[in-house]
Amino acid sequence: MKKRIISGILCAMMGITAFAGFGAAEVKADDKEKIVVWMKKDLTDVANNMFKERCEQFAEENDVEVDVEVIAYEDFYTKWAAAIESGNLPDLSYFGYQEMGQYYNQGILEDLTDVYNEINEATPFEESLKTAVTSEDGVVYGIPGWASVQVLYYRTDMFEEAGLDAPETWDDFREAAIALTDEKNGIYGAGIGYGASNSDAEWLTRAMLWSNGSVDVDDQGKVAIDSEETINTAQYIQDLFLKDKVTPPTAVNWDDSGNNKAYLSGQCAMIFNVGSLLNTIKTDDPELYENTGIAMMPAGSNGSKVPGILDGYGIFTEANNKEGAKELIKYLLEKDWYTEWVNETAPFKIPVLQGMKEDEVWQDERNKPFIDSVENFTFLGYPNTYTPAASEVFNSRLLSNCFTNIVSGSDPAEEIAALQTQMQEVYDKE
Amino acid sequence: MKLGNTSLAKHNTKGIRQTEKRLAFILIAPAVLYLILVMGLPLLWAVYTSLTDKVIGASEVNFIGLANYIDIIQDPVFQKALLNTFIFAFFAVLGKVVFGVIMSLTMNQPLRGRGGIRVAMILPWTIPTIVSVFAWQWIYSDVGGALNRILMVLHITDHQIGWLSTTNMAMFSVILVNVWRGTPFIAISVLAGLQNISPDLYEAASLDGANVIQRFLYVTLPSVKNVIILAAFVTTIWTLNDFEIVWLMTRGGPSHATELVSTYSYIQGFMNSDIARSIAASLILVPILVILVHYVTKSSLAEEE
Repeated sequence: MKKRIISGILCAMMGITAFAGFGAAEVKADDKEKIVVWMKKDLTDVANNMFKERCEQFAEENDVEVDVEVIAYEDFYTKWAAAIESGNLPDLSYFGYQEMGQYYNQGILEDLTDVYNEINEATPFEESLKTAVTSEDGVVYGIPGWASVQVLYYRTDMFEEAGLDAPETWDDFREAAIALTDEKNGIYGAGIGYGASNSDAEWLTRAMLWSNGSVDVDDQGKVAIDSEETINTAQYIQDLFLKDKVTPPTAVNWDDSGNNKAYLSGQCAMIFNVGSLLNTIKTDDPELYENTGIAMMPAGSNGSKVPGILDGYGIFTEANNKEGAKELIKYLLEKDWYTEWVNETAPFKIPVLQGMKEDEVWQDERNKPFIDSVENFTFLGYPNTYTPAASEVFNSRLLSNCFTNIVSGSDPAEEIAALQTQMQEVYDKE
Repeated sequence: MKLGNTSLAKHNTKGIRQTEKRLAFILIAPAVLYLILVMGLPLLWAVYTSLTDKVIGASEVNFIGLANYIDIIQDPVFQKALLNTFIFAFFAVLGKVVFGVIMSLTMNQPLRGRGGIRVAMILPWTIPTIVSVFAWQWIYSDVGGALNRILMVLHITDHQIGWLSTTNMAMFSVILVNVWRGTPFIAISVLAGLQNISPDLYEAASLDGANVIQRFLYVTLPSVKNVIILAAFVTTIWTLNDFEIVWLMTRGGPSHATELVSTYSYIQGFMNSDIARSIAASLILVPILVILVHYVTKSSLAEEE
């Protein structure tokens, strides 16, 4: 009998603890309205801290609770997927425009046209950026937060010693890379890398392709990547790796930090990167900062085409506190604070509001190429308008996977033909 | 009335057994319910989802039968991933077993500082995977990396080897990391078996004129054979599911040279948002895992009996 009682109690305890998790949280009467924010982690703490402080200020002024989570970009994909499927969504999330398009196409992002218009009336956005956050039927589904762009970082000391000028064309780039490579001493002229899921490579390859006359789609909307221009550019890139050998041997399988490490360690004389690296060099290696020059993306036969990297904010349709999130977005784009935030992190964050290009910080010789690059901004789906299919091609890393094979020795024409098929499959789904 | 008493005794015994059985079912019911809710239902959901066209965020889901499976099996990248998974598992397990046995024999010796040696040998297994990966990335690095530096100083090579960047070396490199991390588990398992071997057996073998190798082959190995096999099966299950090391070190590259079913599934699900295809890819390995788990369970229960 005693055994039965003890057994019964143990069973009951197991049952209670097993089901404890299903209990609903008790809502206290004095609970504040809450806004959950997911923000991309900046390489520099200054930007992250300023953002958090701004959110805290909003919370204080509006008597709400703002819960900010700063997340590394690579972790966003798994977090978004888990949040969407579980329904446990943030109220306000960072998105790259390439993700905004894909999620909007799935019908899970809120229409933010009113928010955009309200902000635009107070402090106009740069006109050229609207296309990246607007659907074909004119709905704005993301608010531009800041832009960034890849530029050429080059070692001025090495260039001076070799008697070279900063490259202005891709041919100049190749010549300089060959001249600066000293394999025996582990120095390579071109810090260009590929690898599975390498997002830097996605942007850079597009810059090289588009500036040499390659296009993603034709004017009928059909994928047109398989062209003579694309194959020629692919051959150029393959030659850099396999014929000229101006890239580090391990660059075939770099991740996004590969080119950073190569430049910071002195292994590479030239790389392409966004402004966050310059901020890091300025803080951590003043000597290297003094020996670093910045130039715009080299030009090809089709001029200079710079893939615009636009980051911003979006709201999921199923988020708990959409209205709170909308108010927070407007607060984050109030000109005074926004100017301070962007200029503090210059040149990483390029302003999306008009009238800021002339600020003193952007006249600095190392910052100017970043802001000047905005004029040559092109978006995914070039030369047509940006579409969610172009997003999916980017997010699937089709281009970097294709070019990883090419720089590993595969035939460029065959790989480009396969890429054409893969891209067309994505576009056909739309 | 002996017969009546016997009959009554039998009836009572039967009654007691049924009561005990009922009690046993009641006691395990919460655990079984928990397993059904946490494992059973999600598995059924996963199987169903793999038969649909579900993408992340999509509200409309259509049943498409085996289309995902057919598509995946025809995908050359998946074929490569499947082959890589078996190659990875085979050589990693082989390495872990061989080095694990050697490690256990070392740990079993009456050496001075044996405690410290054991701790040092088990450390790789206890360190978080991310820490191990960072350490090995530095070891393999072509910029200040330890391994290339050592090989060049010893004149074994005169150039930087791309441990993670060449298709030939990348698989070897990730297998090495997996072996380094997983060997201690085999070592501990075999060590437990070694400590159950009576020293009298070794003494008797020595008296019979057996040398070290013969004592290992005819005394040690037969005694720990079952432990080795069981540990090998368990580690095979884990290795077939390995994801972290490959994802953190190579992301399945270069050019899918280290692509595994786990990394393929991850990319399909989280990069391409195709959750149905992702689950289908993972489920393809399930029959093999079920066979392995069945063997392990059967062996464990046979030992208990």
